[in-house]
Amino acid sequence: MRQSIILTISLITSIFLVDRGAFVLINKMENRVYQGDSVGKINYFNSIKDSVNTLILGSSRAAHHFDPDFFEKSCFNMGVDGKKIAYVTALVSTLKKANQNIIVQIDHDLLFDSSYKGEDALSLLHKSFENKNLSIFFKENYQKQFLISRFLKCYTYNGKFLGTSYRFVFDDGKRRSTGYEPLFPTKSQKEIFQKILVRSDSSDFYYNIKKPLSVNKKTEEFIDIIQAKSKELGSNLIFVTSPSLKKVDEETKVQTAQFFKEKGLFYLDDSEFFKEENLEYWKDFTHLSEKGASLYSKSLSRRINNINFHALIN
Amino acid sequence: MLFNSLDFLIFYVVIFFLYWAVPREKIKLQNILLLCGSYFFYGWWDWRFLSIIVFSTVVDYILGLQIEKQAHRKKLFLKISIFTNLCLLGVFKYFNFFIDSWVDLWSIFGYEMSVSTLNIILPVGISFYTFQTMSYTIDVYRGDIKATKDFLAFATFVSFFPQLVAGPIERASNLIPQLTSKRVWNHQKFKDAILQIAVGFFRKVVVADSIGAFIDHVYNAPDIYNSPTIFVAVILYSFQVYFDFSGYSDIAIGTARILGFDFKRNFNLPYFSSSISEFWRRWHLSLSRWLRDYLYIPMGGNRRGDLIQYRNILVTLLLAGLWHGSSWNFVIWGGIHGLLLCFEKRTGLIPKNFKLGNCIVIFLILSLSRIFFRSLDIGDSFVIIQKLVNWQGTVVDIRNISIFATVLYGLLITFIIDTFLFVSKIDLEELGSKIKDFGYVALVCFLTINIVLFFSSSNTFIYFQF
Repeated sequence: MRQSIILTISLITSIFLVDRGAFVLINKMENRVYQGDSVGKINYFNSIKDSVNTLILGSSRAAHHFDPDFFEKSCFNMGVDGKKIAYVTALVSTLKKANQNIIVQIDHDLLFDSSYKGEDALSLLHKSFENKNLSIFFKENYQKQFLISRFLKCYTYNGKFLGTSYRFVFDDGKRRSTGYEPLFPTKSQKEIFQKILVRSDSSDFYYNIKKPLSVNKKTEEFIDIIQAKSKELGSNLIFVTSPSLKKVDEETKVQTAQFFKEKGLFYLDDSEFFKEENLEYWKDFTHLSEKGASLYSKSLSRRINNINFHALIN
Repeated sequence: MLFNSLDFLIFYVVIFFLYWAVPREKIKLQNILLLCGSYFFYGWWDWRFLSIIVFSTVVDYILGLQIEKQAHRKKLFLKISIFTNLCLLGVFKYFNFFIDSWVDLWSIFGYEMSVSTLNIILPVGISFYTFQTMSYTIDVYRGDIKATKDFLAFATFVSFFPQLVAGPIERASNLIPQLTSKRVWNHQKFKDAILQIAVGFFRKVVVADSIGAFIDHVYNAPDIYNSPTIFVAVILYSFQVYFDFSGYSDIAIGTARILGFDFKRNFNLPYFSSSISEFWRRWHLSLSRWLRDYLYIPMGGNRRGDLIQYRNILVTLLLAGLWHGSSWNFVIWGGIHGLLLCFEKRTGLIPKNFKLGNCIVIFLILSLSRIFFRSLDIGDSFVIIQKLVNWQGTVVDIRNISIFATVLYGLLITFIIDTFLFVSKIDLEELGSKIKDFGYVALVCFLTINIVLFFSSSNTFIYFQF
């Protein structure tokens, strides 16, 4: 057994050391990458977040629906595919600049989704080594993953290594971006969506939200953290549900609006912004094409400019 | 409790230290620990289903003893054992399938029946442990093994956690003697086990799960994708099911080995097969051998002429299909394999001279037959086949380039490992002890860091549903 104990110790030590070495290497590459959703966009965000006036945060529906060019010159869209309110909360916890406009895209179904645990934020775990606020956020909300990441640092780059390496090698150095990712559906994508629409029944156009409606506690906690941080920085916080072909029933809409009202938060429900069903505006059920996004961004920016936040707060 | 979870890691470390802390001569104490641990491991999913395992254990333990004790009535006791186990499977796994099929059959003739099905949850691993206990009573009946009087050892044999939920289907002749004898720590076996576990995890969480993330959307809605996308999904599924299940088996064999138990190997590089019959000698060996020994040979095997042999092959493969799941898809899949085997026996499916070419052809045939294995229903299977026959489109819809790159990288690493094992004729079960210490540590480190960097989270293993 002695041999086995020595081998085990050697293995643990070697894994620990190789992990540290690999982490340093990947980290060095990663810090030079400013493109790509999984790694580059957050680096770019970190470099500009404390200088821009308006930040747009949320999922792919944020990334594809809000064109900063319609808002103001100093605006950045930090929407990322597959990311939700936990990810947004982690980003907000790193902000330092006062008096920013923070627009958060949020969907009705997320608010009432009891299965949501906020694991989307974990893709920012690698940044917790560089940012104290982020480290505290993960320590408080994701103890298990936080502990693993302290023993195996490479864990924080799970799913990011190949993308980082690719970007590191092929990065063209282009760093100026608004973060907006317009969608121009290809012919085959349009065909696929047409086929989906043909075989869809009315239930496909509605979110299946469990009744009676109950707000997910974790989601509420995250919204509270965002609200507290915005208050601390004196920022203007707006929650928006952007247009979608998938609808929710009236009760859900009312309860969502009620939830934000009770919290004293400004909320815009634009889920039914487009009254007519023009497929040119859509890439799929939940994502606008560039054409749809332009029309929507233009309207939203106009409405936001007319909001008197000070009157709201007071 | 899943092997690829932190819960299992903690559970296993606790069991490991307690188990080896017990003095070696206290075999019973070690078995009590393994039994309690196994029940805890299983109860983690749903403690209510423990009662089925306990029931199956008690019934087959008593019947095994009675078969040996009352020789003149041993056939009756064997029948009770087989009937009981098949009833468990019939109720918990096939009840709704039989009802639905009965209703569908009558609807063909224009009779619309309204029969309610029950909301029965499939207990995890029921196909595995019922086959294991059945093999025990059959072996006792045949006189191949002695009925054990040690209930503790028997209960541990039935529920031993590494193989409880997805095999390998261990034989009593292999496991019970190990459970009743002193366990000795063996450094070489420890080395072998650690490497096999690392390879198993890599196969499962890096390769199989990444492929799953890539192809699931295609199989969920095949009608909306073009032919190249469907073809890639069909090919990749063959890799997914292999690496998912062989990965599970590797972890099961490795974890048992660290506790001092040798399981039989369950996979032997099946995609290097140059014929369908060779494939079945390399794929899910514990099930293939079970079906051969307790079904195919008792029906006459190949001893009663060609026609009877073809019948036996077809029946065995149809039941192998049905064993996988309560759906006509699996029956069709088994039927296809049965027909292919018969055809191969009769004519030789493909020329035998081109080994590499044969491997590729056999792999393609296997992949196509698995369309029925993976599709959500028969309708979807035919949609996929139709798309492959009426080829349309040129570009594969990759969706997520990052996952696709991980799939390719994972396949490359596993291809290198499997090719090395095939060429060097070394079993994965013995690879660890054949590598010098420095190389061994480097290899385990490489695999571990790759697992950490590339793992894709999945909630389950494909074979859990069977």
